Amino acid sequence: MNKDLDSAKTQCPSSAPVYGADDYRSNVKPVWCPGCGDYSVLSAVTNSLAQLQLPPEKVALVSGIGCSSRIPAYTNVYGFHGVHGRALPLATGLKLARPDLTVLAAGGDGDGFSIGGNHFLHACRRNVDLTYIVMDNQVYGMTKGQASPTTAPDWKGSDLTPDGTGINPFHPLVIALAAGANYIARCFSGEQANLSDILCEAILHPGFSVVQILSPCVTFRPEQRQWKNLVRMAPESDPHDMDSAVKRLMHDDGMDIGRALYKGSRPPYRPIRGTPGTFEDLEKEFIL
Amino acid sequence: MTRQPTKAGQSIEELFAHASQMERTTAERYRELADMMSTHNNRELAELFRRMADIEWLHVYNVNALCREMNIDEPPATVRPVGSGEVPDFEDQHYLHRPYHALMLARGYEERARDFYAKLAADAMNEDIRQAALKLAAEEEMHIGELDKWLVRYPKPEAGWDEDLDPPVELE
Repeated sequence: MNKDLDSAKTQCPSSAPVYGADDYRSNVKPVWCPGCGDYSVLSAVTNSLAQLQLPPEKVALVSGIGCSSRIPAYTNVYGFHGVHGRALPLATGLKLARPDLTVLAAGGDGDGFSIGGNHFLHACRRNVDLTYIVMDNQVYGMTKGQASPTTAPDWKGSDLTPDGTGINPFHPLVIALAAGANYIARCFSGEQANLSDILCEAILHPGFSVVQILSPCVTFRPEQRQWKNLVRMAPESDPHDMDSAVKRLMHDDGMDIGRALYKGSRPPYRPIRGTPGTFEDLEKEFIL
Repeated sequence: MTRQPTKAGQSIEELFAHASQMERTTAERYRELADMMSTHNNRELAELFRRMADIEWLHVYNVNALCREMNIDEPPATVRPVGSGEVPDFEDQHYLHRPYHALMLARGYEERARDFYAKLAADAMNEDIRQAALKLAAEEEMHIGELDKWLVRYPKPEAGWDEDLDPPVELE
């Protein structure tokens, strides 16, 4: 399996494709707010699947609850709009039962790092071959604008926290690295070509891949429209070196994007017993 | 972050493949923006974006015509996304935008594309590529001129255009 971006690009055919990005789109029109970064993420996901030429019936997209978790409905691959914070256990189960599928899990910072925070830790630790796409806008958008785990402590935009939360934000990529994720990257929704390339790389990398995408919520965090002027390409460094990844992630300001920040070589988890051969075999395991 | 289009490559075929893909992506993006504005009941902008999508498909045709003129095979559609360049950004949109805003944004995208081709022409070591890049830059300049004619019909809205009498308020 190739592990770097150039290799991923080589695997991505640039002519005579069987599948175009539209082949991965459903007829359901997104209802996200105009200006929301999630439109770009949807576009990048379908572009990356087209770049990899994955048959739509060989891909599953699992989500939790929230604005960004609506994404499976807008795609034409297998989709599962799950329970709040439970995208990762659902995706884990699916991947273990159907290792032939490319399984993507998607959601927001509230879904993934608050109610789903415990699952996030253990998904990193288990290192099942999944790609977790987190659309991070540092706010609960669907419930109309409350502070989330990644919100800065001095954000006063919600009546629930008029003086700010006063607590340190969750650093998802530091946690991911500490918990054992095998591929870690940060992107910006507005840099679509780069985002598509990174998603290709994350999908191809064995094990649990985390891609944090800065995806502005222009309705409840209108100041995030400035993100496009604040993000910068992460400095080049050896992504295989964990020590330098730790230093980089501990000290960056959250605006370094566009490159894998860590690439591990831990083999992905696979069940020791294997998976049941047939649906009937699986059913038997549930008979009391 | 400096928002520049993806490098178009070294050969003239790669240059035209990039140009064609950029126009196609732009056409598709305007169609998506039209759907977005329809969903949010901004009918005026939805209609404008549909017209702009149609015009962008004409631009794809123009790029292909330029290929034929220069005896180059028409580039096939590819799945690789192009960089920012001329392609409208989802993140620039606002549900209360008026045609003026959409046209001004479009003008900015066309300027970026023009500057990209102009720089490519200036840096080109090969005369064929220089000529092709100059022609593509001239095409983009023409698009800017067309947008300026439209803009005469849509003056800048007064302050307060983004005031929503039924705003998405906090529920707490």
